[in-house]
Amino acid sequence: MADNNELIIRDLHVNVEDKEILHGINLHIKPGEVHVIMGPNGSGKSTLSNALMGHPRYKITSGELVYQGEVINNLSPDRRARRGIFLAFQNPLAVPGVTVTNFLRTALTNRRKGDVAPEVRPQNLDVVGDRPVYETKKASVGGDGLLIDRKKRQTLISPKEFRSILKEKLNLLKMDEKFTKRYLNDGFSGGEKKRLEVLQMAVLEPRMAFLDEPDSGLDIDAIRIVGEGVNALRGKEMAIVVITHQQRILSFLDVDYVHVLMQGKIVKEGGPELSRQIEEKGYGWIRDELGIQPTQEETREEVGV
Amino acid sequence: MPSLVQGFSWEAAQKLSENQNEPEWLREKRRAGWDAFLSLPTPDWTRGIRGWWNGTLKPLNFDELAPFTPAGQGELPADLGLDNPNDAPAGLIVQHNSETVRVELSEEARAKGVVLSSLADAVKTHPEIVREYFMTRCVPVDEDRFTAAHAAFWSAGVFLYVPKGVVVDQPFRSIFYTDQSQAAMFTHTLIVAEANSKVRLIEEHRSNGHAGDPSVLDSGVTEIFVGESANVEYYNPQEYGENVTSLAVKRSMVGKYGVQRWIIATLGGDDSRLTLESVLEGEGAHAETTGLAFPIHKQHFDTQFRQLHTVPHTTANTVFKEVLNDDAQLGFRGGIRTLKKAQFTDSFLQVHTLYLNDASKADILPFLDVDANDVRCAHGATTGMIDKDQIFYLQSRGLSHSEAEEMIVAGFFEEGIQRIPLESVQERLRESILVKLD
Ligand SMILES: Nc1ncnc2c1ncn2[C@@H]1O[C@H](COP(=O)(O)OP(=O)(O)OP(=O)(O)O)[C@@H](O)[C@H]1O
Ligand SMILES: [Mg+2]
Repeated sequence: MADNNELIIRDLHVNVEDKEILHGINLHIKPGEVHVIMGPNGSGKSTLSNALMGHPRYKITSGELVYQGEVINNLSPDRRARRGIFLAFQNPLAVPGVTVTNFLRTALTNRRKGDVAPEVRPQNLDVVGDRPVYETKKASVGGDGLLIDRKKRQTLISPKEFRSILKEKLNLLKMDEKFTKRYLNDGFSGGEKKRLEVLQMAVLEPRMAFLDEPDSGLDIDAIRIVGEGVNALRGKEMAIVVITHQQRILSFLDVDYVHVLMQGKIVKEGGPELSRQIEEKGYGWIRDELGIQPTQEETREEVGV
Repeated sequence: MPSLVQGFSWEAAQKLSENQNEPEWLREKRRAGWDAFLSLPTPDWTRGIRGWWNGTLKPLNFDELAPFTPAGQGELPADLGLDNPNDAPAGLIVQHNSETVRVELSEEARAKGVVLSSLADAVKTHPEIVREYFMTRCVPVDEDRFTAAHAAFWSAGVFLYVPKGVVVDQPFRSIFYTDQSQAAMFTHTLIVAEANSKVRLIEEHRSNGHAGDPSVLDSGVTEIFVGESANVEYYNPQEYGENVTSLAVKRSMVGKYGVQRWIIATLGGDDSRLTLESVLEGEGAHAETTGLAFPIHKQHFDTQFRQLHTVPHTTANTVFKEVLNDDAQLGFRGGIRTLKKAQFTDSFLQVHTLYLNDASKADILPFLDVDANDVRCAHGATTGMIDKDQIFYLQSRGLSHSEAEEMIVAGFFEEGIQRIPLESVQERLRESILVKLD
């Protein structure tokens, strides 16, 4: 079943801090397809992506995520990633001190290894009472066998191979090499963060990529570069789900389906024309058509308070 | 082979002095140290300021510690990479137990008049300099009971002298290594950098012992004099085994427009106490301090830090970063002190503490003690567990939970480590941190 790279989201309910945000989402995404998810602010788009990636704060209370023929509801985020799921975050976090290069080299190594069951850590502890007693042989530092063991365990992709992959992807996204020497998102501008997310996707070559507003905050040229870059990366194997508020980035992609998410539910689906209609007319008409009451925030926005 | 006297006694100190044929003034200094050692109380430790420390400094049995131990036949750790040609320092000095076993100085540094030797040799070759600077106004003999013992029993040591206007960019390197049990080391480093000079020293403390082995004491002193417009950088990875009690006092006296940079990484030792101070005593002087600490197991670390501003227009920036795991305990008491006349001081102190579990404890007490009225002094502290969202971010790219944690902790220290000027030392320090994370 492992080469069945479909993602099936079945009646997914998700809580954030004990409040239900998603009320039964259904989606079916096949390799090679391009999907778009649109919806007003706060409708649950990022919640869906975080739940898919396995963020611990987003709790699936019922329903299923099925990927490669298996329910992955309880799989850790890293195992999902190693299977080929990717999320470009709406607000990527900074991790000071961790260089892009170092981090991505480890990430790519793991991605290539694929999903493996979590390693059982060797236990160095004897437990006496309820307090561990540390094995005295194990010095905190020093020149015994520990270092060698460590190196053996970590067989990272060679720096040479990694550099050439990185270079190719940097070119594709017209990014300067200096980004990769910097700390992950640390001091990056909003637009730079977005591009770094897409760079990570390009390097890791996922099968199922969710891009949560990859275009927000980007200047017009950058949207084109990112749009063309994503388009170049997709192939028969790779499905792409773009969450966006704007039409522009979609013009670089061959969109198959558009889904409209409102108040935690998918309320309307269609082809590329649907995204154009929304760009033109907003969401009011969909609410009217379906008889959905706007939330307080939505009302305020529409009357312009 | 000098004859040895076991235990802490005036006889032992005298013997040391005789064996080295020391001048009268130095013998008197040892005597002053011995007298102070007898009369001073064991110093107060940070632990206890809030009443929860359950351990105190392990009682040291001075009668069982040998104040002088010969180098012996043991090999130095291979991972020091002392003969790595890609990373050759401007000079290298190695002290094995209580003896200096290796001194090298590049032709270039020698030609410029730089002196790198054991302190014991410097007593003979540069008596005036040693007499003026050794345990006088920087770290006085009677600062506390351990500096007093240090003055009585020190041997070998490191002396680095840089004449006026001499700039050496390539770092110097000194190693203190002990493989003796029940030994007391009194490691001493004296750096005198004359006006307009520039020098960098990487100083490493290593041993071969492990937790549970018989105890070893290092009561060390580092004294630095930064002349007018001189620039001194001192990097100190302390990676003793977990049977060592390390009591280090490090101080720099910084003159007009002088710059002192410290990077101190405390990873080793069972009880490791660091007293660290920059005294900015010339206008325009600047100090830059990075302190890293990573206690695990049952390690107890304690830092006493003071940034002292004594004259107007001095500046300092200080960052301490510490990570705790297992049953480790860490005390930090550190602050900015400005004297009344030190107007226009600009000084900032940050302390960031990261817990990897619930059982470890830190007691962080930053303070400001400001007598001048027109200054900018501030401190800030953060304490907490690793950010779960950061872990999730890295996990979402395929790193396991423990890989993500390792990477974040390594990153937490990286800012300090990457400033160390020898790459091989950087690499080893990174490895040591990863090993502690295992
Ligand atoms: N971590 C969180 N803590 C508390 N509330 C949250 C959290 N994440 C999401 N929510 C709430 O869930 C709802 C959906 O938020 P979500 O971020 O999924 O919206 P979105 O559709 O991505 O909006 P936008 O277009 O503004 O990005 C909102 O009401 C939001 O406040
Ligand atoms: Mg969102």
